[in-house]
Amino acid sequence: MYGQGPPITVETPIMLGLGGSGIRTFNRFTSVENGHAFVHVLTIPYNFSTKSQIGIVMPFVFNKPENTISSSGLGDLTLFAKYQLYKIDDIGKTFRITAKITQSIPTKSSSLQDPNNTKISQTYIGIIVGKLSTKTGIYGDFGYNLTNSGLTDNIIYNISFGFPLLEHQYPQKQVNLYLEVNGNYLIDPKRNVNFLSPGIQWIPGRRFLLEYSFQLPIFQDNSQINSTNFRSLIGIRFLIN
Amino acid sequence: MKYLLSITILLASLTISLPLLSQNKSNEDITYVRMEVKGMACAFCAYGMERKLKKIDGVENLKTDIKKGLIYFTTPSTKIPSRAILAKTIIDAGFTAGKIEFSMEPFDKEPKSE
Repeated sequence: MYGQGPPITVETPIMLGLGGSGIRTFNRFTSVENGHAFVHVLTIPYNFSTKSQIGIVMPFVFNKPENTISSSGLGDLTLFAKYQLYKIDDIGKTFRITAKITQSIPTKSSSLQDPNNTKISQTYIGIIVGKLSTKTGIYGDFGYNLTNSGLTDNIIYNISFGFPLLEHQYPQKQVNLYLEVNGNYLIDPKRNVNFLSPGIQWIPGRRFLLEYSFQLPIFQDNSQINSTNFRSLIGIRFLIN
Repeated sequence: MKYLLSITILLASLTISLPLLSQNKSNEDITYVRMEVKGMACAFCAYGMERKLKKIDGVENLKTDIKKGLIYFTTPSTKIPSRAILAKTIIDAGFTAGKIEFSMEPFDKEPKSE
């Protein structure tokens, strides 16, 4: 009778259901010291085997920097591939490890206000780990992000705890709460940014969910650059068949 | 007159017994299946599993109990999928197959229909 949805701001190693043949789209509003950005992100994954998935992330960016002209357009495109390295299943629970590699392709509309739209080519190699039962879900992703253009590489680390809020029934009406931490550690110069991201997810039926996350910086020592005030994400995921 | 009475009784008997015979035949034609699916711990995981099963000819009345990792369905006895096919379907959906049982009677504690 129980069952959870995927984490909101953290990757999932489970490439089923929405991960396999669905579409994820969300709007993220980022408020920074010198302006704000609104990004509409569309993610389309495709499973070409039980263990393998490829996909594309397409952000549409609307920038509003302070004291300068607004801009908008297609942001950095990101191609990704996932491969399941390890899986152990039991009744109502699973533990999985998946490798992930992404390649971002910058576009003219990239945004310094949004973390995924930095106008530089980036290659990310990471691991996604998830332990999911019918009562709790713990997810983590950890990876190294290589940048070109002489900018610093960074280590990205995210963790998510998910709890069903209600005693829900499959397939109807599930409400899940998430507490997530998003981290980004810059190698040179050494700087660290952490967000605490509580979120809520509503699953009204088999093929559709709504989610909201509020990301508040709890630690950022890059304040001399352009510190983030907060980020807010609202989105939907749905299966196309 | 006696002949007509006999015909009438015969027709009346047939009228009463045919639906009952048909009902018994219908029950005999249905096989109940219960499958243990390990790793099915999320709502969309269950939907993915159901979607794969629905592609198998004859699979009807699917019900899922995520907590117990069980999927129930019925199938006409003439179209019973083999254990091998069902196990492969579970694996192809990304899960691990457990016990697969067939029965001529409904299983106890099946989840209620929607």
